[in-house]
Amino acid sequence: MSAPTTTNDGLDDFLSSAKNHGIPDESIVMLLRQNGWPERRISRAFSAYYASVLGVPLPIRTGRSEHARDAFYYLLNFIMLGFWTIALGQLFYVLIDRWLPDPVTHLYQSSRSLMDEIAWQIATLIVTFPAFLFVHRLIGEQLRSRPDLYESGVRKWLTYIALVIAALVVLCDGIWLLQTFLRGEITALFILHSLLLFIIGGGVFSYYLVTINPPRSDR
Amino acid sequence: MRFERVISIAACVFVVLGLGLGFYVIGTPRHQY
Repeated sequence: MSAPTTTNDGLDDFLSSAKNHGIPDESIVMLLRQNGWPERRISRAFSAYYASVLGVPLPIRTGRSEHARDAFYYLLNFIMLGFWTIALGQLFYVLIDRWLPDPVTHLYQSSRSLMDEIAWQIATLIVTFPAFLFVHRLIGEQLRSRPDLYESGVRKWLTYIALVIAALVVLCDGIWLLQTFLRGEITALFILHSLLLFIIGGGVFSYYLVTINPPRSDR
Repeated sequence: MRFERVISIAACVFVVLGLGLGFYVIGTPRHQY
């Protein structure tokens, strides 16, 4: 493992000289900041200085690649989640429409379009649901082996975004239901559609709300 | 049983049910309009 590289801009010499004169780190950092030195360059100079004094290079944390990996897993997970939940919702929506046909719109539906719609949703479910389960399982295994990943910023951000979307679905469903009720247009078909949206949105919301924090036994 | 496990099982049941019903519907001949 190599020590942090030094640049010939005088900062490293200045830092060594300042430290040899007993100037505390805070004062040096403040002075350098005021003179326009970027944080990264100051950190690198300190890393090089302490590596030479201690004789041990600063351990390199693999944080960045972890963030990228987390982003990959979680983005894939949530994209798959979006695909299969929408496909499942659409599939049940069409099936409910078939069993309780709306007399107004039913006349315009052909059996061909119904079949196309169902086939599309089934295909989406068959491809994305196993993919989702696989990625979800990988994430679960990682979290079990390394509980510190529960605190990953990428994980929290993406999970909270998914929570917001799921909450919006449930809230809009509630508004839709209430508005239809107030207009006196509520039907069994409408209640079933609304219930379907509530079950899927509510299920996703409650699942991610419960699992965003580590289980109590792991804390 | 943990709550998240219940939701996971419910989701799997829901998906299997949806697929089963979907296959049933597209496999059943229907009158033409």
